[in-house]
Amino acid sequence: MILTVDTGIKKDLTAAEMASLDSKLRNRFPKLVGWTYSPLTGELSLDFGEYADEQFVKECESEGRRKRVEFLGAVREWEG
Amino acid sequence: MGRLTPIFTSRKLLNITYQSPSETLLPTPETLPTTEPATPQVGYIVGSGDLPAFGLSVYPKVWVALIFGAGKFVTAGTLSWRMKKNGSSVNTGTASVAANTFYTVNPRFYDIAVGDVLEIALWSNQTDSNYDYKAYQIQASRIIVMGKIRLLCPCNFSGVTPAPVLTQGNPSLSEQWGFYPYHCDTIILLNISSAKTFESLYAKDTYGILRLYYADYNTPNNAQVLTNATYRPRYNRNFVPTQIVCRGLII
Repeated sequence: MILTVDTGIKKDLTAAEMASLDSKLRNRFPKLVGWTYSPLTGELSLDFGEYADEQFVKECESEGRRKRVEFLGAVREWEG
Repeated sequence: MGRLTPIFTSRKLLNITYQSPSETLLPTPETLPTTEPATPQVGYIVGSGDLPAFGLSVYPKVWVALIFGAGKFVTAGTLSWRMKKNGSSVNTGTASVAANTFYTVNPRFYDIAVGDVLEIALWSNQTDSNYDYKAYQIQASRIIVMGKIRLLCPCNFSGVTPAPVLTQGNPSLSEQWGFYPYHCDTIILLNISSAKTFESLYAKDTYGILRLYYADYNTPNNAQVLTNATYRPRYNRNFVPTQIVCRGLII
């Protein structure tokens, strides 16, 4: 499952900022497999691999609203 | 005496030939650095000889690049990557890689041109990870076959093939997706992975008559990381048109 949010921030991340973001994301989401962030669009995609849970998606959506990021959607991957 | 204006153009046969993917398998793997390298491991300068060859002069189209970079993690860790175009960051990310597992980064650049420098930097949080494989192929999306004549009746995608076909290393295909035909800039939700004829397609300015899946419809200027205990490269690819037969309707 891949969740994508629009962070509203279009910033080129340094390697140190990537490491910091990686650490925070993996602490918050223990099932996270990987992530991508585009400085061109501000989109952050969180890859949870095979893990897919609708309740978890709703929680992320709700958390996104609190943090004022736009939830763009969830895609279930059929094959990794 | 009047002269009848032909309603249809002559039959147009558009053959598209893709260049073989440029593949490099290093004889000795390079150790991945633990910080971002100043010089990315994977780098290509887009040359005119890398572009697909069109049998007819085709009007606007968008070039996309499918690039692959692969190696192995001995100790479980996190792979970090950065896609750069002409020195500027296009996308960044990380991926978990298990112990004794191969990784393949599948970056896709959208809208590239001859002379562009496309690079992928790789680094690891472990000291015993390596890199030893890279590949690259250019494909075309958003094709408009004729300039002013946009209504094609019929439009026959008579040749369709998966691309690229990687041969070096120990390759393994993960997924391959067909392209989407477009009519009046509206998607026709029919993934094309074999020959298919449409009674008519109208090529408008944004999407033309088709949109490739990877690098355009899905993950433009983005990357996926695939891991596998046995295979490297592990990759996703497009179905691409190799032959289009059509007539234009003069209206």
